[in-house]
Amino acid sequence: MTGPSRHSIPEPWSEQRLAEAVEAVRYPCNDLDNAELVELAGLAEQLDAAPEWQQRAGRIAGWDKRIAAAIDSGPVPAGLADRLLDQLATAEGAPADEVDAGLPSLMPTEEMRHNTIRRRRWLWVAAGLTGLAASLLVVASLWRSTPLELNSEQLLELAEVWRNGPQATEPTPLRERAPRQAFHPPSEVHCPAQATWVVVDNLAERRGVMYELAPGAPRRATLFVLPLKGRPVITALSNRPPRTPRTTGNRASAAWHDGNRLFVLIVDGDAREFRAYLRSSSPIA
Amino acid sequence: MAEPKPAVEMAELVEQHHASVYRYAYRLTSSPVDAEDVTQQTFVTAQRHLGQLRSADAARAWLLAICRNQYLKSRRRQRPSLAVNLELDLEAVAQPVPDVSPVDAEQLQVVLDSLPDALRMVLLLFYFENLSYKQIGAELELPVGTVMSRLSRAKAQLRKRLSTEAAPEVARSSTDRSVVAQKSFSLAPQSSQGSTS
Repeated sequence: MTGPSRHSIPEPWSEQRLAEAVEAVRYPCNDLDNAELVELAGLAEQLDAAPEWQQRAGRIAGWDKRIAAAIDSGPVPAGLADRLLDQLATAEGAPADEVDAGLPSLMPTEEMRHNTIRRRRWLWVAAGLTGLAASLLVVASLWRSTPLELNSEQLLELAEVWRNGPQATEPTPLRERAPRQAFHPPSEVHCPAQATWVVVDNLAERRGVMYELAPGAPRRATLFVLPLKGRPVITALSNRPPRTPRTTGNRASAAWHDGNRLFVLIVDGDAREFRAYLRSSSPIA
Repeated sequence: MAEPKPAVEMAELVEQHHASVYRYAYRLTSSPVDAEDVTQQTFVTAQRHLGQLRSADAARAWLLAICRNQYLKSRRRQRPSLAVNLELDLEAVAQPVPDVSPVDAEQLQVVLDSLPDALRMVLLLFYFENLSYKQIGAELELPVGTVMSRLSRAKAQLRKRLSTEAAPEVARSSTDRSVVAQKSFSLAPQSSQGSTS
């Protein structure tokens, strides 16, 4: 039979068990007193018997406090609460699937509604004008003269021209305001928090968004997001980012689509630098 | 029969918790645009099921759980999960716990991004949702032993990588993603785009 002094010394746990238990404790929650957490029963005695582990537990608790503080901090986009309330007002009466339905627009919901009303008013005025018919004819003839097809190489060239041309508007930091969901970057592309965006008025007869992924950096990285549907039709497109981009003049570029949207990524540098902007877990063609 | 009055008004929920939900979504997605999408989906879902919320005290945890589910749902739609080696890393168990200054929120994101999904998720449930390892096991449908082991490894890796990232001369040894992220994080102050013509 063992003596009383032997009873007071707990059977030492393995290093692994101690390590896991010490990491599993949420110190501010006093998990050590939580009877439901049976795996931690006896940990206090183990720590009492092993001062080095007690010190380690103290350091881990300090770390946990810092991580918990840092993890729930960081900037929140300006106006997010208002946009959420707008979205909720729109979603209230709509069936679940229709919340995001409708034509893609670049503007947030509230602005979109105002603009729609304004546009309708102008349409009524314009409808009374005899010149309307003539304008429509001109538009129609221009539409007909648009080439029916563009291949991805031609699209990349057009995107390069747009990228290097003057921008009509100041870029909007993504942190402050994001474009409509239809023009969000694809999941395959790593879009850093510092990215900015501008509206693209007309690229291959499409309206979309151009993101600067590394604003202010000596080597630019630019992502275009455009609707896939439209005229001219874009041919020879992959449905995922190509592994080997086109490289010309110290620039790597590629275009692909996701069934609804068209993406063009142009990065200063070689294929390696291009791939650095693709998420490692994304499928690559 | 009239529906019971919800414990909290939706506008109040948005006002009080949108920042936390957005930050959680950002930690999960590591993308501001995806985070805003997930945040919107979270509140739209919450609005539809507002009757389930019994008290205002439980609102944060409830919204964060919805946010996590929305993220997992969108991730399942977008990409297949990767096979990750999650065997026990003995080196991590014996790793020392360094002393560090307060952790930078963006630097933390870079490190979280570099962790496998399975470890990152356990960390977020622990630190952000403040769940016990037992609750994490229930949420992720994992045995308690697996959660404890993952938690131990994830926290050890987090500390190790945060210490590494803090030292500029070794920071470049991270993955491509963190290199890209670091590049852009170092670009302060931002310059105007207007001069790119």
